[in-house]
Amino acid sequence: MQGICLLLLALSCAHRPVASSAYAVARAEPSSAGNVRISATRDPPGAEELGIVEAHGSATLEAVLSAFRQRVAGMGGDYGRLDVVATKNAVVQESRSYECGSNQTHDETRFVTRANPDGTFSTDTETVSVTTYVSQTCRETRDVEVVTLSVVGRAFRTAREGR
Amino acid sequence: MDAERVLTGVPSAPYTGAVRIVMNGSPPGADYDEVAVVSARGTNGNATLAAVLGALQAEAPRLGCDAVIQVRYEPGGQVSSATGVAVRTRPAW
Repeated sequence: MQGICLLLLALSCAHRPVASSAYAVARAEPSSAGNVRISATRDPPGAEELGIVEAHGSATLEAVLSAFRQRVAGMGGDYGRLDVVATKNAVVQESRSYECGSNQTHDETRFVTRANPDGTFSTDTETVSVTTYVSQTCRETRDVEVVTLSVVGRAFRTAREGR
Repeated sequence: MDAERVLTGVPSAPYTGAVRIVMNGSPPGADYDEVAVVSARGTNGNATLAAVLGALQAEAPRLGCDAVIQVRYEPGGQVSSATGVAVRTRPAW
């Protein structure tokens, strides 16, 4: 496909923002300021389930789980149960602009004034080659394979302090 | 290769034995303690099942774990990745 650079690049280091969302299944609780414990294998015994939480992004595991924790805390939870931790590949198009100027040579006519032996002046023309850099912006579109890490789980409230 | 872990439990001294890989949906086969969520991704020549699962497997013994359970693998053309949970099997008394 002409004009399109079909480079499949693995952007494992191109970390992008993490998005997250939550859906409450119980009455609203004030946000929790304490630590949120997470588990990928066990529901907390005797805890109240507050809602469903997800976080995803082309980011590190630490960043995605941090966003998950914040959502759990935002629902008033102190325990996040991870039901799904998975990655998914997708090919997206990325465009970039870059400088692609070049040196260009053209002829220029110049007027040259010379002093004659008799004290008069004469003007001649001469043609010279002049090279200048001509700036240009090029645009490149390429297919990039990105990995999105996603976690889906549930927020729980285990502590009942102050009640 | 790029491997990462986030602790969800308490790690212990490094484990030197074989590490089991248990794919998601398969029973872990024993009672266990959860230690960390782990992930690995390989690019280009390392975007293979063997390289990615090998990297995931290599994370576990550093945490004192002898198995990675709930393993999910996502193959790709130039990047492949996997996630799992590093666990330590409880001794059967």
